[in-house]
Amino acid sequence: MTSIDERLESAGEDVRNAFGNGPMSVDLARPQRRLAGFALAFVLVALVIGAPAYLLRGEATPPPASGTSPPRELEPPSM
Amino acid sequence: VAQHGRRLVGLAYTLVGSHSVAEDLVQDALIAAYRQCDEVGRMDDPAAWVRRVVANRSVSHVRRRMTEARGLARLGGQRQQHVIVQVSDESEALWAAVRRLPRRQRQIIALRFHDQLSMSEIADVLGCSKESVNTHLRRARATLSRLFPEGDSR
Repeated sequence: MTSIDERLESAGEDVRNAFGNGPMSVDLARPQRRLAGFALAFVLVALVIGAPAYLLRGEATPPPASGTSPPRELEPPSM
Repeated sequence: VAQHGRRLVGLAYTLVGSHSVAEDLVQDALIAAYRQCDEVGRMDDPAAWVRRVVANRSVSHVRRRMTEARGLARLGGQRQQHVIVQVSDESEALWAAVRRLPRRQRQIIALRFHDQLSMSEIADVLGCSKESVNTHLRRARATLSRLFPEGDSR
């Protein structure tokens, strides 16, 4: 056995001891929770982007500045 | 398979270096096995299938994480470090070097020295030939021997 093998054996044993070899419960609700998390994140992003745009929708065309003459009406074409 | 779930977390840890990520990867693999229980249950060795899923997902995760880290580095940020598991500094340094090996070599070292599988068991788990396992193992040993020369105890 080479030296690097001994070191790797020892490093492997170290991790095995740290984690043990016991059972592990499977969390079957995890995919649904993850999906709900993604959906919530999507809604939040949509709100953050969409809400300001919704609130500012009426202010897209600013009123004419004071002191400017109103637009003149077109004269009818001369015969 | 879930009876030895902690051992699977250890395997994932050797490949990703993060306890919480290793737990997540094993949970995902066990859920995948549960969903395909008819198919997996008919296999000669369902544990080998789950090991393969864990090993493959672990290296995919590391690849994604490295891409993220490169992106964050460009933006001047830094990735949050995960909880460190209680292993000696020397072991951690060795596993960190293993994580920098090519994908197949990484998986073979983890399955050989963490899971203590034989060459033919590793070949079964990874779906490759025993000769291929031997070749990758020899290359990995050579690289690690260069990084950790004899008598150099870090």
